[in-house]
Amino acid sequence: MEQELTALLGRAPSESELAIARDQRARVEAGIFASPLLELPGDGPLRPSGRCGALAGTNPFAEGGA
Amino acid sequence: MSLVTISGLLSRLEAGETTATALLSDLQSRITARGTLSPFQRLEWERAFEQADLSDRARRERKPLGPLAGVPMAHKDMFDRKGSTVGFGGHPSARKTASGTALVLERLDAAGAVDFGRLQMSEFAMGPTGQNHHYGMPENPAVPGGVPGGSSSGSGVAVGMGLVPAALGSDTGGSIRVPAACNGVVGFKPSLGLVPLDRAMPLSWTQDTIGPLAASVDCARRVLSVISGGKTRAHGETPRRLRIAFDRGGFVEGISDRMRAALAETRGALAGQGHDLVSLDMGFYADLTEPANVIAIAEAATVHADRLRDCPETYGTQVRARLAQAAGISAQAYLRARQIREIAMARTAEEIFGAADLVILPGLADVAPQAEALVHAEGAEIARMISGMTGFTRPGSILGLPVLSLPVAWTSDGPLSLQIMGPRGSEDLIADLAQTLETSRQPVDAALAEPA
Repeated sequence: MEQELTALLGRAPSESELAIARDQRARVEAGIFASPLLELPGDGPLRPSGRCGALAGTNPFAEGGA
Repeated sequence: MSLVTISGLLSRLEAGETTATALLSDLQSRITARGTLSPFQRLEWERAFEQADLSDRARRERKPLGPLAGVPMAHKDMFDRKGSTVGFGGHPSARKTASGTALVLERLDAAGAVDFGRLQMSEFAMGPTGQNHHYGMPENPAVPGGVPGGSSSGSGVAVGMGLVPAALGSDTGGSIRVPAACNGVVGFKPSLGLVPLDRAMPLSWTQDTIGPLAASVDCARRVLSVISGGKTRAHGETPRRLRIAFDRGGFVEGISDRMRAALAETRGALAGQGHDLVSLDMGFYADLTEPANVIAIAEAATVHADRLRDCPETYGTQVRARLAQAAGISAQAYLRARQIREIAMARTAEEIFGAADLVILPGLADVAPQAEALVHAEGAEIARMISGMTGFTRPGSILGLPVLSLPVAWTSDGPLSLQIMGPRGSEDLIADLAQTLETSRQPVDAALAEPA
């Protein structure tokens, strides 16, 4: 995190800036990776033939595993 | 406060009661007499008087006139005009002299509008409060002590003060609609791609749009028609019987009682007009705030990458804090956010616009928040407050949909605004409906006392 911020700001980040980036990472976990909108097709509106079909392909291990 | 309208000005010009030059002189006197530049960032009288003179001459000589001939306008300080300074609300070191003119300004010029200056804005269009680290915050004319909203803060204030009938703003997460709601004016964010962005400051290419803040729906649609190159109608028509959707409650939880009452009043008005009301579950819109923010921040950090690395200290505290958020956003997170956008677009087409022609949402949870609370926030608290102010505007942004912000009620604490949102390309329908809902700017606290 510190490295990313240093690259972004061109200098070492302050504690406050580090806290902001950490807070954002936590929000990404909750609001992006755990988003209920990313549930795979089945019960939801996603259709493999629809414009979102590519999303199903991003998790090839969701079904049919050994 | 009565607002100046385009139709009112054009009537006076056409009747020979005034001239474009006289309108501009009057404005110059009023602005000078105020003793403060705010809400303007820069005034460009010399060129404006030349434009006004050309317009007056054309009118005298009965030459063909554009639809905004002689109408004075000023715009957010983010549009290039050849030979003029553009400042983006940033530190003075970010200013440049433009080598060309934004296409939206060229279209307004061709329509005869008289461009006399640039208006204050949030630094680099980042920030829904209107607070600018370098230049302060213009005063909200509708809510004493309230924030003017941003990022098109000066545009909302100038229209709300009755100085101009319309001003251009930009909207990436709510930057037209939030200041429109805060100042009790109309804000019209068009569909993504309808209005060209050439030579306008970029922020987030997936969500950037340009549109008017205006004194009325009529003013807004006249300007939008010009800047879209005639892709929308300048004049209203009576809307057909429509299916109009309201959220069942999941998305609009947390609004004030009086906003709830304003929604109920609007439902009643629409039913009275013969429209069909539809109650839909829009709960998934609450899940779009973070994806919209992730896309905006990741793209903004890309836009600012070189400058931020070279001179981070020229950025204000709040903007630097927002750009620092990018360090917490991985490539996968950005791409996932884009996927969520696609899914939400598909669900909106199917679940929302499969059942309704238009949607009505709150603009803010209540009237404009007081400035005191927001100005002193720091760190992660800023990010949360920003999310709070743009919670209802983010869906329209990430989905690329046209949305009009309309004041529907005036309380003694300030205006309450709703958003009318439609599918892509429904600007005409949205404006037609909005014109039937425009209300007087008189306080109506008693009518809004009981929540729905």
